Amino acid sequence: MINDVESILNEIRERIRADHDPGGVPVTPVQSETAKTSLAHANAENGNGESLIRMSAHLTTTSRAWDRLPPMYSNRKGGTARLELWIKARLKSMSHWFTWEQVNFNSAVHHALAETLHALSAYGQEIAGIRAELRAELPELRAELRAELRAELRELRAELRAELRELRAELSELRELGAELGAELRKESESWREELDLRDRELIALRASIEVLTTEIRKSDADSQARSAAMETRATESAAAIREEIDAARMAMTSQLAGLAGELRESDQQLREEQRVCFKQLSLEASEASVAADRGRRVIESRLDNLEKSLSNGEK
Amino acid sequence: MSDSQKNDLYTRAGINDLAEFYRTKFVSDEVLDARYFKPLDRFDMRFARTMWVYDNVRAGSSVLDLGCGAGMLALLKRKHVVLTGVDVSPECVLAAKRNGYDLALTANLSRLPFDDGSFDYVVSLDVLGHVEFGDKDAVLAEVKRVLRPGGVTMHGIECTDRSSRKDYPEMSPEELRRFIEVDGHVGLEEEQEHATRFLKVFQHVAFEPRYTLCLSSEEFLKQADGYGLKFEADFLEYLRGLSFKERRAFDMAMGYVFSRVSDLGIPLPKAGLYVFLKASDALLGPFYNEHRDRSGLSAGRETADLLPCLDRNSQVVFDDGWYEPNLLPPVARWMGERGRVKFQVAEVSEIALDLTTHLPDLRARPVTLEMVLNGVRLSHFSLFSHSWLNLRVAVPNSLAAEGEFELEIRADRTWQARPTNDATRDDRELSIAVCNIEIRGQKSGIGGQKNPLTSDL
Repeated sequence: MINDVESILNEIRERIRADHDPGGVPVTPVQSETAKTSLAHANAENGNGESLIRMSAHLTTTSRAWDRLPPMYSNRKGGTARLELWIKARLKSMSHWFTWEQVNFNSAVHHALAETLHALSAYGQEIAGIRAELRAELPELRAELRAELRAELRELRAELRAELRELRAELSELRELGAELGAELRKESESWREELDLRDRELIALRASIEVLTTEIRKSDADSQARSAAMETRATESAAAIREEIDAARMAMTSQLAGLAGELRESDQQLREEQRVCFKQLSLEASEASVAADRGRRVIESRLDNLEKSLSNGEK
Repeated sequence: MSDSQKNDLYTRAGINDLAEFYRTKFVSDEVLDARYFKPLDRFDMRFARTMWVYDNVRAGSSVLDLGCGAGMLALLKRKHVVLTGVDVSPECVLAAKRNGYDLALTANLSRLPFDDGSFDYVVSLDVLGHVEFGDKDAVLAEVKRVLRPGGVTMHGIECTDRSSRKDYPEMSPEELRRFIEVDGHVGLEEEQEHATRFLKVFQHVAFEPRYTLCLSSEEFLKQADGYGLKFEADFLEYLRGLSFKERRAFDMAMGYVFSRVSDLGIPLPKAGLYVFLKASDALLGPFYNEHRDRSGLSAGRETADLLPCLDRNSQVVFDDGWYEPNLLPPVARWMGERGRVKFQVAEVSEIALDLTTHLPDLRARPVTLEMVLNGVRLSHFSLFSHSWLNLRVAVPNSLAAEGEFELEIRADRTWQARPTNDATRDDRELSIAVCNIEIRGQKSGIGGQKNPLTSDL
């Protein structure tokens, strides 16, 4: 009784879960406790257990209905209802040959799926066992690894500290050497600066004397320079003037020649044009003269004809 | 002063080469060709003497122009006269030929190279005043020799008035030089003296003083400046201030009065300036208009129809926007700011003409021209060069057969050729010169006739 209640509750729980799962189907409890335990374990271990549980629920349905036909019923009452149910019972027994193959097929599918579920459950159990073994071995392995790593770390630290000490020692040596060199350089630069100051003073004195000398030289050469500059300027000016005159003359000659050539060309063109127009006028006048002569000749001929006619008339 | 003394007046005036002197004085680029004559020019004072001869010459006669100069009598060709000219200057002879004389020769006037009785008329204008006194009788004898029996000789002669002007012997050498230098007058006599000379040779002589009232503006100034004649100073000043067109208007008015005086036979008093003289061995006819027939002056009638070129067609009207034709060469008309040409033609498809300009700074400031035919613009362009341009302008079909046409040419600027040269007084406002204006069309022919060159007449 208690088992029944428990199985009903499990079924309700699984249906609710299936309702929340869109791709799910109603699950019915597995037939055996072993399978249920293994499936529950598998469910606890990973997600694949869920599908196995749903498969098991389906199989509960097929185990119940693989050889069953729907119940016979009637909405009528009395004799008609009994007649109807009687006919249906006859038809049921008559159609047994028709549903036989389907029942066989259902049976085969149900048993194949049940076998598959057992196989999968067995695999699931094996995997759970291996995982439990591994979980048991894992703390030991972790402790070993941690110990090894700590030992290596200690050794590395010791080595680094030793190298650091060596480097510090070298650095202090170099600092000492730099300080010694700086002191030496400072001393040398001071001595050089003193020498440079001395040279500067000497140079200033020399420059002053050179300036005095230069002034004297300038004074002495001023007249000659002025004379030569004047001569040079005069010569440059006269050369430029001569060059300008030559250029101007050349330009003038060139432009005159160009102008003359242009004028000649233009006058030639104009003469040609005038000649053309004159010839045109002459030809027009010649045409007029020829036409006038032709007309005059015709008039004279007609007058002569008239005269001859009048003479002949007079003779008659 | 004897004739022999008077004979060396040219020499005394420093004129040794007579032909050269007359070439410089009387040869010009003026076009006197009858074909270019405008009917309205008959009132131009410039043609007043020519018109007197024109109205006294019989059509178809033979005329000798003595001292023809550049050919002032060329207009006589409108009366179908056989026109011959003689002159001492070869250049004048060439100019006379150019202006349409049938024959022109270089000759001494006292030894004319013609057979006896060769001409119906012997005419001279402004010549006998230039003949030295010693040669005058010989010249008149030659005139009589070449004149046919009964022929008439007509002369326009410059005169003098000894009461108001010094005679040659009274002039100082400088005065004489200046006097002769003006025109070369070495043989000026009074009106009656001229008539007396002619009467020695011809039986009948008639003369009328002219130019008493009417002178051209230029002649007024020349008489005042060159010969010292007295005119009102403000009048002379007014004449000097006239523009070219105003001078022309003045000369036209003077010419009109001159013409009316002749037509009405009004005798003018002696002025000592100029005389018209007619002489013949036959009885003389009327002094004015003896053979008046001006039909040849207006429409060209027969000949005008024949001309394929508008320039020489008297049916074509060149308005006052055009100046008189000039020999550039060729013969061309200068235009002012705008000029119009009116002509009649059956059909026009193209107008061709030659044009040039002498405007300065043409490259910097080209002159822009516009050609308009009957109010429709045909062409619009600019001239950048002084050379002659042969222009051909197509006429749109809408205008082609309108019959009467007015071609207008407009220029955007003009130029005074010699505005500062007082000696020439050429103050014309010129833009372009045009010549050889041809009208081309399928049935073109001036005056509505067919094209004479293609005519089967």
